[in-house]
Amino acid sequence: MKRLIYLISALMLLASCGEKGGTQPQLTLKQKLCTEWHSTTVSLDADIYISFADNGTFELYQKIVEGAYRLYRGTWNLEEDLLTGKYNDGEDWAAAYKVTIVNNVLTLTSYNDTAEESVFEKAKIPSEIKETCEIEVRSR
Amino acid sequence: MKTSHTILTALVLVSISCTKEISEYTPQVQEQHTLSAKLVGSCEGEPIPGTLLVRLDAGTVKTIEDGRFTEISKEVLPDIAVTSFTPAIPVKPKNMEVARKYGLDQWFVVGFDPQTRPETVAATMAASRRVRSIQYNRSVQPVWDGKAYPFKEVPVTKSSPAPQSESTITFNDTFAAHQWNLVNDGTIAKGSVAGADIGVKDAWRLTGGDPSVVVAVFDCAILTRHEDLVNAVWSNEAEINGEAGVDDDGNGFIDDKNGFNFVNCFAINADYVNGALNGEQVATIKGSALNSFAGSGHGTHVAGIIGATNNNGKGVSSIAGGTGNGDGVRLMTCQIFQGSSYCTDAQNAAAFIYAADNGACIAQCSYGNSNIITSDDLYINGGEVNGVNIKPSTLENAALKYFLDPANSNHESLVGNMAIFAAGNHQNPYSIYPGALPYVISVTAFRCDFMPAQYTNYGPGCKIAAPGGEVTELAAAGANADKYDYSTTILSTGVSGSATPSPGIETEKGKHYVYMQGTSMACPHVSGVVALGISYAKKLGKKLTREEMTSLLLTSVNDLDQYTAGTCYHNNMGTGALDAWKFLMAIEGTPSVMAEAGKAVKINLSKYCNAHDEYTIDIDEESRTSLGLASDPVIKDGYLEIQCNNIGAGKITLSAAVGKDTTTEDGIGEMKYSREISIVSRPFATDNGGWL
Repeated sequence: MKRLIYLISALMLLASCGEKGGTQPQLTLKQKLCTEWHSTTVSLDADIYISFADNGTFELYQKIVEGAYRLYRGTWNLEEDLLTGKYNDGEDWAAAYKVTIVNNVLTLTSYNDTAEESVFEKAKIPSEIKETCEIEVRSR
Repeated sequence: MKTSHTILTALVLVSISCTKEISEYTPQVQEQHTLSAKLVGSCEGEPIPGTLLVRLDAGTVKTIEDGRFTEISKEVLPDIAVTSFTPAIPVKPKNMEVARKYGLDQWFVVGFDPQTRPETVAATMAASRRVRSIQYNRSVQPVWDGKAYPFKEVPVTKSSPAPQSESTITFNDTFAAHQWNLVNDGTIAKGSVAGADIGVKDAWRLTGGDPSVVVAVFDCAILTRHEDLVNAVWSNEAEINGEAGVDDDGNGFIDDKNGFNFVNCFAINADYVNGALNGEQVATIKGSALNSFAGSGHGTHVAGIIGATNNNGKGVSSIAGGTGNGDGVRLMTCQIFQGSSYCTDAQNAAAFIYAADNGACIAQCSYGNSNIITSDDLYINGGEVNGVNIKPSTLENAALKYFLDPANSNHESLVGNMAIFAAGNHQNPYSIYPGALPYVISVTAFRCDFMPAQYTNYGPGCKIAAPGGEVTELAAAGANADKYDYSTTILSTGVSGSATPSPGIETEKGKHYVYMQGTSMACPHVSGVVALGISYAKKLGKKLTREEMTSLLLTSVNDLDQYTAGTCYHNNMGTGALDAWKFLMAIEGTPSVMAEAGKAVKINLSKYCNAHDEYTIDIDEESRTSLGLASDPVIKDGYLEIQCNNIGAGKITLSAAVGKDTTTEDGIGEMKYSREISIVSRPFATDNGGWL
C-alpha cells in the first residue's frame, strides 16, 4: 500500500513538472480566451478590461475619455473563431469578432466591412477597478 | 446719556476689534440725508420695536474702532437713549476680508427704548452723513401649509404589507416602503407613477453621504434627541468638550454645540432643543415656551429628508443619511423660526454668516420673503408693486453672497458653498425670493404622479423640481371613512405636539414621524442630493466649483414637460425633475456617447441629461476636425442628431438658461448652465455605450 502511495505521488510530481517546464498542453481557443484581458491599443482615449468566464458570461470594464470605469455584463459564444455576444440589457454587441490569440495577445477583429482591430494582452483586472466599478444600467 | 455712550464705546470696541485694516476715513457722499433716501429692506409689517439696523460708512467704522464712539454716537443719534450698539453680523477674524467685500462689517444693530417709535429714531439717524442705510427689522416666512399630518401606518412586516413592495427598500428603516419620494414603484396610491421619485436607490450604490458634508438647516430647531436624527446632528466638538458658559471655539457663540437660535439668540444644544433647561436658563429666554423650539417640527421634518440615519432599523430612510456606518451627512441648526416668532433681517443675515463661518457647505432654506417681488432689481434695489413699497434686501443679500463666496468654501470638494430655497406655495407664476435670485436654487414641487403639486409656484426664478407631495382627497365611502390620504405627501421625522390638524403618531418622545407637503419639503430633496454629490466628489477625489456643481445638478433631471403639456406648468417647473443617479454619474465625469462613423445618427441623451431643444451647442475646431462633422449637430426631441465622418473623439458643450422672465427685460434673471458631452465616433457603435 505504501509503495502504491509513493508511486501515485511520484506520478503527480511528474505531471506538475510537465505543466511548468515540459510541453504545453494543447488548449482550445475557448480555453485560451477564458481569462482576463487589458487593451493595449488605446484608441480614442479608451481603457478596456474584459474577462471571459468559461460559463459563457463576460464582464467588460471600460473607461472612455474620462470619468470612472463602467461595468457591462453579458454572455458570449464562440463558434470556431467567431465571437458573438449580448449585453445583459438585451442589446447585442455592435459586431461579431474574429478571435486570434498568439503569445498571450488577443486580437478581436470586427467581422464586418470595417475590420476594426482591438488588441488585448493577458492581464489581471486591478482589484480597485473591480471594487469601485458599478453596473452601468440603473435598477429601474 | 454720557455714561451709556461710554459703556457702549467699550462694547463696540470689543465687538469690532477684528476690523484692523479699514481704510482711512473718506466722507461718504450722500445727496439726500433723508429717511426715504436711506431706508432699505422690506417695509411689510410693523417694524420691530426697540431696534433698527444701520449701515455706517467705512470711515465711521474706523473712527469707532479708534475709540471715538461717543463722538459718533452724539452725531448720529442725538437725544436718543441708546441701549445697545453692536455689530449686526458676528464674523470670524479670518473671514473679515470677505465680510468687508460685501459691506457686512458696516452694519450695526441699534437698540433703544421700545417706547420710542422706530420711525423717529430712523429719521434722526438718516440726517447724519455718516449713515449710509437704515433698515427696519422684518420677518421671513416658512414655506409650507402649516400642517403636519398623522402617520397612521404600522411598521412594515410580512403580516402587514407596505403600500409599496419590499423591492423599493434599500435600508432596513422601518417605514422606508412608505417613502415614494425616494423610491416610487407606482403603487403608493391610485394614479402614482413608477419612477416619480428622485432616483436615489441607484445613487446609494455609490455613496450614502459623508460626515464632512455639513448642511445648515435654516428653519425651526432640529429635534436633536429624535431617534433617527440623534446621530446625524452637527456637533461642535470644541463646545461639546469645552466649558459650559465659555465660547470655547472663539466663534462668538457660547455653547453652540449643535447650532444657534438666531430668533432669541441662544445656543442650540441637546438641553435647549429637548426641553431639559433648568429654571435659570429658561428665564433667560424671554417669553419663549420650551416646546416651541422645535416648533411645528418643520425643521425636524426637513432635516429628516436630508439626513435621518439610514439602516438603523428605525423610522425613515433619508437621502444622505449614510449606509448605517456612521457615514451620513451632518445637520446644523440655524434656527430662524421659533413658534410664531420669525427671524429679522439682521438675525437671518447672522445665520448665514454663522453657517459659513462654522463649516456648512449647503444652506437648506425652506423659507422666503414677500411673494409680490417679481424682479431681481426689485429685490436688490427696491421699488413699488401695486402701491406696496418694496425696499431693498441689502443685508440679507450681502450675507447670502458672503455664504456663497469661494473664499468661505467649507468642503474640500466644492469651491464656494450652495444655497437652496423653496419656490413657494402661493400658486404664483414665479418663485419667491431669495430663491428666485440667479445665483441660488429655487425648488418647485411635484406629486407622486410627476404632476406639479397644486400649491407650487412655477415659472421665472424656479430652477428644478423635486417631490413635495400633495394630500389626496378620497371619495366618500361612509361617515367614518377617511376623507384624505396623506401617504401621497412626504413622510419624515417629526416632533411631539406638531401643528394642526394632528400632532403626528403618538409614540414615545423623539420617535415621531409625520407627513407634510410643500415646496418646503421639495427643497430638502435637492439639498440632500447636492450633499450626496459633494460626498461622491470627495470619494472620487474631485473638486468642483459651485457653478459646475449647479450645472451638473440642473442638467441631471428627468423630463416633466411630457406630463404638463397644455398647462401653465409646461416648461415652467425648472429644468426638470431631480435625479440623484444622473447627478452622481455627471460628477464622475463627462459622459461619452458612441456614434457610428459615416452615418447620420440619433443619440438618446436622456440617460445623461435633460436634452431639450433650447440648448446652444458649441464645439471647438479640434473636436470638429477629429470627428469630421458634416454639419452642426442639433438636439431634437431629446436626441442628439449628428453625423461624424471620421473615426475620432471630441466634446460638445450644451448651454442654456433657466428661470428667466421672458415677458420683460428687467424681470427675474436667468441662471445659466451648461453640460459637456464626449462624442466617440467608431466604425460601429452600440446604443448602451458598450465597447464591444
